[in-house]
Amino acid sequence: MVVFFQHAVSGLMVGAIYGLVAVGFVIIVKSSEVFNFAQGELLILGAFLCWSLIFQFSLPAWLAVLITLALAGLFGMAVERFPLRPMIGQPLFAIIMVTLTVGLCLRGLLTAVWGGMSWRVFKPALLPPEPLTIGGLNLSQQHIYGFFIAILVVVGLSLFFKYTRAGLAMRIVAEDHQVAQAMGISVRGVFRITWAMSAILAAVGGILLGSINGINIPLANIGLKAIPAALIGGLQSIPGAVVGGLLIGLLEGLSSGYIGHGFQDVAAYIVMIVVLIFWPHGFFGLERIERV
Amino acid sequence: MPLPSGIYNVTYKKDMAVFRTWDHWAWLIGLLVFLALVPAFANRSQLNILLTMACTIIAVHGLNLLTGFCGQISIGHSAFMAVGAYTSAALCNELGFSFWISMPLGGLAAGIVGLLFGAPSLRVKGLYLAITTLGAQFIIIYVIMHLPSITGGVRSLDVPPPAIFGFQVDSDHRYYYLAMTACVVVTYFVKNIARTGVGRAWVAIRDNDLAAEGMGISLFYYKMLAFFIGCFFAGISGSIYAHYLQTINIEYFSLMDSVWYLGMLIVGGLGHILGAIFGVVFIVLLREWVMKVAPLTSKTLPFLGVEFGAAMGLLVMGLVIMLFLVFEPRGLAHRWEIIKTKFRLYPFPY
Repeated sequence: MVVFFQHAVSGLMVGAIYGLVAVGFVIIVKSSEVFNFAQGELLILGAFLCWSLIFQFSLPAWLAVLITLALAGLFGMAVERFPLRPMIGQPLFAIIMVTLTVGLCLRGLLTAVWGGMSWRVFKPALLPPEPLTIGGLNLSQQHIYGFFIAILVVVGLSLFFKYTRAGLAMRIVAEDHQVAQAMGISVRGVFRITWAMSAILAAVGGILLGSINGINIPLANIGLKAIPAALIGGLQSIPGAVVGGLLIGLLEGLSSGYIGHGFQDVAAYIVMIVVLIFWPHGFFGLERIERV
Repeated sequence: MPLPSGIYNVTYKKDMAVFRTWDHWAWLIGLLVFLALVPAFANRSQLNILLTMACTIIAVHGLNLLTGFCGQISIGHSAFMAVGAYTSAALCNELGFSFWISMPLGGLAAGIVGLLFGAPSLRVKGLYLAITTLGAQFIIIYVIMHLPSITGGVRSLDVPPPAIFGFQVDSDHRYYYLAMTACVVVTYFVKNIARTGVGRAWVAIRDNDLAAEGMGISLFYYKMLAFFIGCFFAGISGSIYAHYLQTINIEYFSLMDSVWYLGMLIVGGLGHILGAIFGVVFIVLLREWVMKVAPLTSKTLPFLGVEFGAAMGLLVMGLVIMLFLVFEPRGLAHRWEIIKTKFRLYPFPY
């Protein structure tokens, strides 16, 4: 039983970070109906930037994290300006392809700057590395910090959406672009903020994951793991994305513990396909009624 | 699109004709003769490129039917190729089948697996379906990797070359004729599927699935048919490619390849038969060019670092596809139509 809880809890801890990345997907989908396949690359971009600032420019960790988040935000805005803005109103396929190519270019850029397959490890670690023992469970302190930072960010984000003017504007844009424009809200401005926020969320996830496991280019595939999380939760729901992320993390922890290494990557997709067959819009997604 | 002069579509048959004038036929025969004569004066690497193109065109034709005509986005096409390649290889290796039986069976296996992953398209569509096919990519590759007794797992698997009446098709020159014939035959089939009722039903589903259903088109039947035929061609292509290389590895069927196939469609023009061909030729030539140029850049500009060569491929190809999406979303096939029309009407503007 202890082994079971061990796998489950460590899975959940990583799942929170997936949830964080999935929230990044969801806020872009909500405001602009664009599904960002480059989220994984944005994630390692943040991790690499932070690593470079700390260990190559030897900045203090807190400053490096702040600068990374600012740069990630700017980068998100740049991606929104080109190539995403000219794609407004294009069919779904073109938009999917454009974010995929953004991911490819970014991957090329990262390879050129930070180099192929080599691992970069945060040493000394940003978060305390010693494991804790709580009630018979061995827990990495980094995972616990990661979990709580992820939860904190998501709670902060929900409060932002609920209580600030910018959050209100974003919710209106998510509802209807024309209505938003009629109310004097700059839809483009909202898109820009959304992309910046999404890139920042990815960077937070990247820094957390990087500080736990180290970073290399193939880590970008983690973005592909957050996709099932976003879909299981429902593409329009922020709490859904977190639930989805936790579920995927749990599944990963258990399947790598009991079935074997390597299966966890596939398990997420199998569960996602099953969930989509029975709940085509995810657990908390909006059900759209279509007509001709 | 204006017609060639002197052509009046007075019957439905004439309206649907692919080859309208004698010089169209002359161009076709010229092209076929050219393709038949190429091996006589092409060197090994050029032949290799042409063979790759022929195999890829078959797969991209399949993807074009599925994504370009029926509108069902598939981000897992290279996995379906892998199904065809490994099925065909396993049948030859384990059961001693000849290539001529194992190739269609490989296609059939890919088609059936395609049906399996296409089944969710009844409930989900658009983005959700695209991600289901992304799941297919991971699941299929996982299964292949974990059947090491048949597929060799992560190690390479040897594939015997095909033989015809005891005549081994093992050199590049001989294999070229096999692959190019297959490519021409598949192009012929795809062009004609797209012109028949099935093709029109697919286009209707792509443009508006609810309206199509209202017109009495069975979404279930036609979507499944699109998945089956699209993946069938992927399997055929995978099988031909495997028997050409005579050794296959799971690395040849990665997610990246699936993305390149979609990129080829974008560059060529979605929903055009010519588009698939243009896109493959363009991207394969671009890839060859990048592979030639990339080592030079790291040599001449050493400050860019040794990794730059590897990175350049991704950067250039990603950028080219992105620019096509933004500035020429209808692809090279559309540009080709415009150029043809210009020549047809010259010297008049319209």
